[in-house]
Amino acid sequence: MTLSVNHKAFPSSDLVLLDHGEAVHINQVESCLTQLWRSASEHSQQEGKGALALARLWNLVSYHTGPQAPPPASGDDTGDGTANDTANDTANDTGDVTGDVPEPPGALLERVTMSIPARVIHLLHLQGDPPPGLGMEVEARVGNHCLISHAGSRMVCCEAIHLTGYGAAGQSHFPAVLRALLVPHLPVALLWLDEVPHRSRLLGELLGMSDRMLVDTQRTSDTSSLLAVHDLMRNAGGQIVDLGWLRLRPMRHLVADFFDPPGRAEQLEKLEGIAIETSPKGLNSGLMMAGWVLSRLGLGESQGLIPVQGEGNLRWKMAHGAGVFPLDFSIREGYGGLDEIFRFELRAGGDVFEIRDVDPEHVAVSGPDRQLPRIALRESEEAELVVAALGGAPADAVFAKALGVAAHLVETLQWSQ
Amino acid sequence: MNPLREGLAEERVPEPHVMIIFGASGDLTKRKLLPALYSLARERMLPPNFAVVGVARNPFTHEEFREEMKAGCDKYSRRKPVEESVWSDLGPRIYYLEAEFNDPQAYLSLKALLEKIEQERGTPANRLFYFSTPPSVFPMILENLGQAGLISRALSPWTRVIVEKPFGHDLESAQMLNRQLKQVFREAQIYRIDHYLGKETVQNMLTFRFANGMFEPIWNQYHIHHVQITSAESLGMEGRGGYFEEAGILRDMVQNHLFQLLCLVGMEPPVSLDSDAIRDEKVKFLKSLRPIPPEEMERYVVRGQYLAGHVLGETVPGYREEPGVDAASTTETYVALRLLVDNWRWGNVPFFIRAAKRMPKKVTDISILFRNAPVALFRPGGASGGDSGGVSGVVPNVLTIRIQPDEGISLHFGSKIPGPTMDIAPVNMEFRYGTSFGKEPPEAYERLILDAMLGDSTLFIRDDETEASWQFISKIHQWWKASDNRDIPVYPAGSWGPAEAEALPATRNAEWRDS
Repeated sequence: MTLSVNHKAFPSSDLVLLDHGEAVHINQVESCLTQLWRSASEHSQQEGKGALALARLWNLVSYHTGPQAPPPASGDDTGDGTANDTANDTANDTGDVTGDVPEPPGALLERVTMSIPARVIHLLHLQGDPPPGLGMEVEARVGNHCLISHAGSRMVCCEAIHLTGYGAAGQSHFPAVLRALLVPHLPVALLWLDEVPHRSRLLGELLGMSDRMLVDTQRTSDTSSLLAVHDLMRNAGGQIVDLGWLRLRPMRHLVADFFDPPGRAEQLEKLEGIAIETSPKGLNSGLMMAGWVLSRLGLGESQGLIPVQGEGNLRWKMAHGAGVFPLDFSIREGYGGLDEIFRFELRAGGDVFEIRDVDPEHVAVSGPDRQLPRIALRESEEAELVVAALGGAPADAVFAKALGVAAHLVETLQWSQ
Repeated sequence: MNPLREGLAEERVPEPHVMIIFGASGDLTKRKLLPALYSLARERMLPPNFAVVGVARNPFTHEEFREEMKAGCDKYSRRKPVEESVWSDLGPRIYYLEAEFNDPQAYLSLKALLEKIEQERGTPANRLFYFSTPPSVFPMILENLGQAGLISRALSPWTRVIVEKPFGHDLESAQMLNRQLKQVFREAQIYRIDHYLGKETVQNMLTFRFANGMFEPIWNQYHIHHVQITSAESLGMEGRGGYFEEAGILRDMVQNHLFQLLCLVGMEPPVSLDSDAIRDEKVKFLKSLRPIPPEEMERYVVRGQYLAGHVLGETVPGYREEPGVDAASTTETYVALRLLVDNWRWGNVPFFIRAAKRMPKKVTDISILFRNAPVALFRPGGASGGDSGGVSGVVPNVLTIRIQPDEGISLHFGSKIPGPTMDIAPVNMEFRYGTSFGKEPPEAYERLILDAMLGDSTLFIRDDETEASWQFISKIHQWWKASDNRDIPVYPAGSWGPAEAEALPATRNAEWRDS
């Protein structure tokens, strides 16, 4: 067995990645992990780092679809040049996080396990045939992520298993393989890194094994993903956690802050309008914000929401109390921070409550009690959101109601088109 | 009720109020209180229109006090450096009033300042007083606050007071202090703070014992051999020699912090998690402590004082050489107690407690030592041997709850050493907060201040708790006072205490665990 060791420095700790150098057969995964564990212990002792601790609080299963597997390598291509490389690069790429580009799954999971120890099982589905000579439709690689705190405490290690399934046949093996590799008696979290499909047998099977499923409605600008997650919520109930929803938390706090002073909450009964401006990618965020406010006020799903055709914008009219108030969306290009919302305005009781982007990291808050021209909006990176989703309670009734109204908005839009 | 607040973690945002800190120029404000408020502001847990007023003798302007507090947050906050975006919101909400505590006019100025702030910020007259002053000035402050009309027993707008330890220096003074406080406040308005109760691991004691089905059935005299609670400090006086001379480690650590830990280990399950239900059980436990007759005190209590020695690679002076300490002092820097509890659960199970300065390292933990298996299939104690085909190495099972540092829980049990013999080696199963939860636990003061703002007194000490613990501790002080002519046992700094203390666990064929 070959062992590759790779160090990464972080502000308060170092991450040591120990990888078994070769692909292994599925039935050898556990024994390879044991071997790797032994090698890691020896490595630790040689480096004078002391004892190792294997830590697991979760089985953390991630799923995503990679690019098409490349055609078989010809001749003497030096790197294997096969799908092995593609799969491994995709799974293990640890590049920086920038702008709109989601963090590569390998890097994301490393960062998550730095906070929440877990056995990580990463499922990568590649289209196309397996590389020649592999002899099976699912390929496995194993590794350990070991964290060394700068404070001098012992190394804490988590196991990582990367499974690559080739084509539909490879994908169909995932549930059974997963059953064999899950650590018994530990909860299972499924981190779905793709867009949530409307109907998927694989998703259904994986969900059936999971105690918690993490999705991200902001992963796409396609509003139908809200409907798909809403469907999942109906079937799976409280075990769904939406990273997109968690990303909206700072914005929701700012909006809620407006209505804490005495007398302000009553103003919400006199809602006069909501206007939201987002980037194209932020449309789902905007819909969730609208869904949240409307659902908290008992409006939305059962009320008459009437879509109004606009010029490039989305508009609904909603009957509320004695009047009809508008719900306006405008979409413009640009980067609106991690939540992709440029402006949120709520008009109620004759006052305007507004949060507006100053730049991608700062917002201006303006309301009758608060005028803050520039405050930092602390937004969480994806790994922090996953940690929060695993660390907190799964059932979120507020989310379920907000999603219900947001999905209803999408449905009314679809009916009108 | 703000409908948009529901579901947000910071649902526990307190009502708008002003916090008034008496003794604001002291170290506690700069090191703990303001950094805690800063963290709460950063986590968006402070109410809108919250303000804080510092009151002390030192001459500061509002701006100077803000700068001083900002420097404190920069240095002592768990999130350093201070984020400008947070401070730009919190800073202007900090005010200062220069005042002599005995000057009635100062309290009228305070009243005027509070009314001005409340009017400007639209805050109802909810007021949280924080007494970060020596207890000797509490009566003076209470009287003047009352005369200025700054104290109300009403439920709304509310008035609360947080009182820092020490809550008296003996039973009589604790009773006096409680009487003084309760002349102007209802008990529900009084928050006696013990920062140990704000620590995550301490709070976890309730969860650990009462949320897990596996421990409570064995949490009794039938399965537990004895309990040890250790609070060791590697530091010496650090300039507090004058204070410590008056207090001693029994008052400074045991009467408050360690007795709270003792209660959480020993109390019966509360009927609910309501603050009074929990505190009722703690008081019942304290009242179950078997009183120690004076003639037997030496068999139950050992005190000591450190000599010069070596701690963590440094040569350190003895206690009597510390600044502010009498060269013939008999103040204890070490104390160990053997406690027995007269109830059905703990009958005949000793609790060994020790607290000390200048120990080899800083550690606070609770160890539950279980009885050995009833049938001696395996030979107890000793290293591996395996002679004559026998077995060896049996060690008692120990559950250790580590309060600081490296908060967590470990279970110590025997496991067969791989090989042809039946040798047994002790192994540990560990849970550590640091590795198990990604979330950084809040500082104790953050949690406690927030609870007081919210009106939740669960983690604060009730009047009868303080009096029940003083009832026990004062007897020891009285006995020491009566026998002050005797030499106090000594121990070298950097050791685990005086040899005399070994006699306490030896009564049960046990020894102190070197934490």
